[in-house]
This record gives sequence, structure tokens and C-alpha cells, in this order.
Amino acid sequence: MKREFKKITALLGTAVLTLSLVAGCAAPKGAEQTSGTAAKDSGSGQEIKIGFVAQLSGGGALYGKQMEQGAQLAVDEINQAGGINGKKLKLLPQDDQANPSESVKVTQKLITEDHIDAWMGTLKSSDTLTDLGITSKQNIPSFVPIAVADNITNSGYTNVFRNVSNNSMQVKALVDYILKNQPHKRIALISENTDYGRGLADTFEKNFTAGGGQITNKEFYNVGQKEFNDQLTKIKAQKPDAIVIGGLVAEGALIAKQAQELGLKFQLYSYGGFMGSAPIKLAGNAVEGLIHTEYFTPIKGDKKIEDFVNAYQKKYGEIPDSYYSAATYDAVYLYAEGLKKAGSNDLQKVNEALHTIQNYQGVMGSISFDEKGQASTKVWIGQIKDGNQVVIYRP
Amino acid sequence: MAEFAQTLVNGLTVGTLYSLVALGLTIIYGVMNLANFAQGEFAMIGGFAAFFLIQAGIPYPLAVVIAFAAAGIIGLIIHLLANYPLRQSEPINMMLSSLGVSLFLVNLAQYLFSPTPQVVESPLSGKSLNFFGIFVSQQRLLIAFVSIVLCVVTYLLLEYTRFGRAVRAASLDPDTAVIYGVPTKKISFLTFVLGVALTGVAGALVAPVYYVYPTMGISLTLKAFVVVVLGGMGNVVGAIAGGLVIGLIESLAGGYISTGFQDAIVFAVLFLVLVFRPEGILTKVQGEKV
Amino acid sequence: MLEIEDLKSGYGEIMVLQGLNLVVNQGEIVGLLGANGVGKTTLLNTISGLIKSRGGTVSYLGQNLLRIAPTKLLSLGIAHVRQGRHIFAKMTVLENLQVALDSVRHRVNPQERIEYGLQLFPKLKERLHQQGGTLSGGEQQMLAIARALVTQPKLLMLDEPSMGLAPIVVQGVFTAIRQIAQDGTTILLVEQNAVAASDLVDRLYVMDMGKIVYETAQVNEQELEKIKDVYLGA
Repeated sequence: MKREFKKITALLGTAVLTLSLVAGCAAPKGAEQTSGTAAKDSGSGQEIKIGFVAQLSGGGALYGKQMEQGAQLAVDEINQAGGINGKKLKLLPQDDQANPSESVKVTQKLITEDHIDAWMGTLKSSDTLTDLGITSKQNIPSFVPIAVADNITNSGYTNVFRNVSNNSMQVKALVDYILKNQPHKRIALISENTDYGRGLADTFEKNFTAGGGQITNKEFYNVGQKEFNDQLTKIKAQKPDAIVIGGLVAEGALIAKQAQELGLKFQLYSYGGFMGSAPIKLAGNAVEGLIHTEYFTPIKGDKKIEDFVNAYQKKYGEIPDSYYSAATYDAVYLYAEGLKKAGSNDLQKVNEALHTIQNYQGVMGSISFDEKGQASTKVWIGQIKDGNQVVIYRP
Repeated sequence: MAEFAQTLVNGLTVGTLYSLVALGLTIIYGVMNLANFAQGEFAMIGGFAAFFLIQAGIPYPLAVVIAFAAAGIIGLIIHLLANYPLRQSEPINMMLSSLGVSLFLVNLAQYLFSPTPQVVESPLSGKSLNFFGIFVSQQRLLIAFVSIVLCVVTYLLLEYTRFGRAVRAASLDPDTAVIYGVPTKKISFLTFVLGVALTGVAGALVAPVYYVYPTMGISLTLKAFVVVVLGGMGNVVGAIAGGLVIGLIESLAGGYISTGFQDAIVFAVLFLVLVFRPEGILTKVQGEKV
Repeated sequence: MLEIEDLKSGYGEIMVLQGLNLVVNQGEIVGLLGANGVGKTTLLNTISGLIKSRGGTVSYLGQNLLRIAPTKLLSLGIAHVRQGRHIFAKMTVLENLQVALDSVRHRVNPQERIEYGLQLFPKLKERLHQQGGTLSGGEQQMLAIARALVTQPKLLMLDEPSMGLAPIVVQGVFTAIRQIAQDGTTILLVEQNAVAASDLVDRLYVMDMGKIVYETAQVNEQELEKIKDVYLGA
């Protein structure tokens, strides 16, 4: 009897565990840190509501928070200047825990309960893609400031706007830089096992081999993973010239640390995930010398950037040192521009108006949306030198 | 050859950590019949304890010891609030309660400490030893060493002391143990505190290798459950050996099959065990299990 | 020594003991007979405190047992050998004895008691470092009794010690029980096996439907036949 029960406990336990694994590999069980409370009144009120979806709890919350802060700053600035078309903007943040099913859930809630006028999100390409499936049915203007998988703007949506260069553009910039300026010809790839990471690895391989380089390894890891010794041991055995980390800094910093522990002394490359101070804080001297692409950098001498950096620092007490806040900040202003051009918050009119935007000067450069809603923003190359981020190549 | 040796070393060092967490989980299960879903959260508590103590200038070794105590004290409170009131009801209620404790602790930590990963520096951070081309980080060696020592000490405690006899008797047959003078309530309480305190040490030990953040315990709980099911629920030697086995399977699967499917392979092994030997690989079929 | 008055007890909705009265005097071997399911085991478990009573009193040497935690039984001198042996299967024979001794170390000499137990059951001596679960059924029963005896109980409660054992083994066990009684331990013996028990006991109670229905100090063939016909349905 008792024995039987123990068996049932074991089975039940395993079932729950497996479910939690399937549901997104140890996804954090976050609190809803939302302010979407004044929710249930209709969308045609005095406020224009922007639904905002990103990871606000767990490992990636670091970036989700920066995204939210950038967007909120733009909303506050616009409202202080009198709003748009006589109405105020309102940001409704929702935590999707970097989990596709949660992301869909909160997006649906934003549409059906909060009646949002525009949508913005998320940190992850895969989550963004599933969410866009829903917002597109309602034709809601949808901004994708952070997720950079190519297929987001290749899905035929007319309501999707991405104010950042996509993965291919970012990878091409890195490959071009390496081929022209660096001696590394044999490169190992270690990427996260997601649309984002697989996209990075495939595009890099295609471009780098076309340029005469050789790929020694294509290794993958899961988001949230903490052990990379197995991947790194395989890479070490191939003796490449360099390693490209195709992922975000939460895992990337550990990869750099563990590579150092395993005695790997190869040049490290990575992408936008290594912007800002986070990698230096998390990985210390293990990321010294790492070269990465950047979408935004808080340089002096550009008025638009300086104004943004100053306002952000004043409000949040920290420097916006990566594109997470800059891109959402731009996205809100782009939406405001669309609202102004359309003269109302009618969904279709705003979508049409956004497509006509030409050379809008954002903090990430000049932005024009093509027919797919894709903009081409600057891709810089940066390096971590003596514990600081420096720009080593300017577009 | 060097690659193979390195893969084995990687697997074993990670495995000792799994053993330590699984050991805590398995003794709690053995005595209380509780599948403690909040086990990993005590690693998080140990990790944060180490983080704040080091910030306050306490040396790392002392911080590890205090982390043990901190996890134990919080375990004591949790036991009184979430386990003790349910001691008479079906085991599943306490299991669900532990799931609630897990959620509560994670969210509380997110509220108090923010979800941002924190870096913990130990004197061994970033240093490695090189044995003929096989690299082992010193912190990982420390983890392996401390884990093995704690596993052995716990094993000896259970096997050769009066307390250990009482624990085993209570886990084998609680009713009979009671009428033979074993204070099972006290034993449950001590076992729970000991079980989570050991996991607290695990958290303080891995903090410099990984980072410290509120959700860090979840994947550890998962791994520990796999280990405990593999080794036989409640089986102490099974948990210790199971940890090493899972560490090795992971590492060999990653090294020679595919790094993208590491976790999938570990879970496939778990499913096979559940289907063909639900009592665990290391539990003999005859006799009641521990 | 043990006086039970109007004891009521049960599980959930089911009331098993419905006001039971029973007395065990110092130095006696008292037998308790009854068919399967009449509440014999429930009675012993209620005395031990494994089941909460719902009324009545159990007085042991003047103390109300129902107010005493079951963990204190051994120190008071009551040892209960449960039905189905309930030895600690994954512990050695010696460890089984030690667990019991651990709570009475203040009043007995552990070494002497272990020797006494092993002398009574020499088979256990050969198996001292074997796990309990590897013993035969008879040996497990011996271990269960030895585990109770090493605590030097004043009152030994035995629940169906003959269950599942071959007749020859039963004889051995009962010889040992007689020896224990001669050495001064009072015994309350619960049995279904009336014939085996009748040789041993000073007095007999018969139980049915949660109550004592018959009581006799005349333990002879004739009485036994009567009891069997009327109460045991055999």
C-alpha cells in the first residue's frame, strides 16, 4: 500500500517535472509585475494603449526591464509634451517569462481585456513570432525592437515593424569584419538552441564559408543551461582560431568563463548580447578581448544619442549601454510618428502611415520601413578592452 | 584521448554536485515520504547567503558554512509552516505544499533581490589546474571535494550513529519505529533541516561557477529528481552514485551524441528507468525499500 | 497490571472497538482469541497509541496509557510485537536490536540484553550482521520478539506470532514465549491459532465484533472446542 503510494508519487513527480521541462526548460515562475490594472474599460478612451510583452522575471529579466524602461521614458516624454492627437499614451507591461505559451497568453489578455492600440515585444524571436500571429489577425500595429530573427519580417505581415537590423544583417557585418580585419580562418560556433541561435549559426556558416573561411564546430545549448564544458571540450579538440557565441549574455558569460577554465585561449566573437556592462560584470576578465556587434552605443558627440542617454540616466540612474532600451525608445517614437501621420489611432490607418515613414532620425540611426516593415539600422563592431566597451568599427 | 578524459572529468565534477543535492532530497523523501519540490530553492538561499556574506566582507569558506546554517534555519521555518501541519494527511498534500513553497521562495527572492544574476567571487574563481592538457577549474575541484566529504559524512552519520539508526528506522517503518522509541516527529524535522542545509551548501559552492539568481534552484531540483528516481527514491547510496551517473551520461551524451539533445537524453534515460525499473536501478527488488 | 475499561476505537467512519474490557495481571500469560477482523490488532494498536482511542481508559501500573506518547512505551516497559513482524528490513539484525535498545539505555545493560535475546534465539546469532529482510519468516518473527525482549519489558504484547509460519517453527517460537514468561515477563498474546495458544496461556479472552464475548481461566480441551464452535466459526 505504502510502497504503491511511493511509486505513484514518483510517477506523478516525474510527470510534473517533465511538463515543466517541456513548458520551456525551467522557465521562471514570475510574478506578474504589471501595471495593467485599469484594464477593462474600452479602447476608445482618452488613452492610446501600447501593450508591452517581455521577460520581466527570471534570467532574462535584466533585458526585459531595460526594454520597459526605454519604452516608458519615450511614453513619458511624449505625454509631457502634450500627447498625440490630444490623447495620452499608456504602456501596459506584461511578463511573458520568456516562454512562448505565456507570451501568447499575455498578448491575448492585452488584446481582449485591455483593447490595446499597439503591441510591442519581445526579448525572444520565437515568442515574438507566435505573438505576431495573434496581433496580425487583429491588424494591431506591432513593433519588434529587439528580436532579430529574419523570418519575423518575412512572414507577409503588413502590421509588423522592426526598427533594428535583423540577424542576417548583423551576422554579415561580423563576418565582413572578421574576413577583412582579422586573421581567423577556422571558427567554431556555439549557439543557443532557439530560432535566434540557429539563425545566427546558419547565416554565419553560409557567409563565412562563402568568404573562404571554415567552420570547425556547430554546437548548441539550451537557454538557461549552466554547463558548457561538454560543448567547449568538443570545440577544444578541433583547435579552431576563434569561437563565435551565438546567444545572450546570461549563458554567454558562463561560456566565456568556462572556456577560460578549460584553458581555451581562442579569440571570442559574439553579437548584440554582449553589449553594455553586463558581460564585464558577469564574466570579468574571461571576456577581455571579445569582439561583438552592436546596435547601439552611448557615444558622445551625437546630439540625439546624448539627449537620450541623459534623460535615461536622469530617470533611472543608469546609462543605457545597450540597444534594449534605445530600440524600445525609438519604437514608441515611431508609433507616435505613425499616429500623427494617420491623424487617429485607427489600426489600418496607422499601419499604412508607418509604412510611409522615411529617414526618421532615432537614437539608433536613420529609420525607414520597407514593404515588409524591416528597417536597416547601424551595426557597429565593439570590443571589450581593459574591462571597458570600446567601438572598434563604425558603420 | 585527452578529449575523452576531459569529458569524464567534466561529468564527474558536475555529478558530485548532483549527488549532494540529491542526497538531501532522498533522505527527506525516505523519512517524510515528501517529494520536496522546493529542494533547489535552498540552493538559491545558500547562493544568496554566500553572495551577501561576501559583500559584507566575510571570507568565502566561512560564508559557505553560514550558508549551510542559513538554509537550515529557513528550512526549519518552512518545516513548521508547510510540512508539519500536513503530517497526518496524504503524502501528496505535502508534495503540493512543497511546490507552493518553491513558488513562494522564488517570487520572494525576485521581490527582495531582483531577478538579475549576481556574481559571487571565491578565492578560486577563474583558476584552473592543468593535468597534461586536462583542465579542471579549482572551484569545481572544491565543489567535488566538499560534496564528496559531505556525502561520506552523511552516509557515516546515517549508518553508524544512534541518530542515523533512528532515521533509517523511521524511514523503513515509521509506525513500528514510534513504538520502539524513535521520536519520528523530531527525526522528520531534523532530517528536513539537514537535507535542505546540505543543498544550501551546494548553492554556496556553485555560486562562483554559475551565478546567483532567484530561479537558479529550479534546474537543480529537476536534476536531483532525475538522480533520486534513478538511484531509488529514499536510497542514500543510490542518490550519491546516481548523481555521478547522471553527470557522466550528460557529459558523454553531450560529447559524443549531441549537445543540443543532452537534456533530452538524460530524460530518456529517466523514462526508461521509470518504465522498466520504477524502484530505481540500485534498489534490490526484494524487501521493502528504504 | 493492565486494565482496560470500555475502550472504543476505530478508523475513519468505522468503529472497531465498541467498549472493550480486559485485565492482565502481573506474571500472567493472557490469551486473546478471535476470528479474523474482530479487532484484535486494533486493540493492541490502540493500547500502543498507534490508533487514537475514542473513549474508555487503559491503565497500566496506575498510569493512563492513552495520555502517553507511543514513543514512551518502551521506557515504561511495554513492548509491542506487531502483526506481520515489522522488522526493519534494510537494517541488520544487530541494528534492529540496537534501535529498540536506544530508548531504554538508561535502565538496561545493552550488552547483557543482546546476549539474552541471542541465547533465546541462537539462530539470530549466526545472522547478526545480515539484513533483516534476508531472514526466513520464522527468523524474522524471532527477531521481532528479540527486538522487544532486549528492552526488558514488563509487559509484552504479541500480535499473532504464529502467522504464516510452519507448525514446527511455531513450536519453537512458543517455547521461547514460555521461557520469556518464566523469566518474569507478563504477556498478552493475541492469536487466531487457538490450539497452539491454549498450551501456553493462563487465561483466555474471546473477542467478537469489537467486544470481549467470553472469558475463562479453565483452559482445557473441552473449553477450547466450545470456543471454536461458538466464536471462531472453525
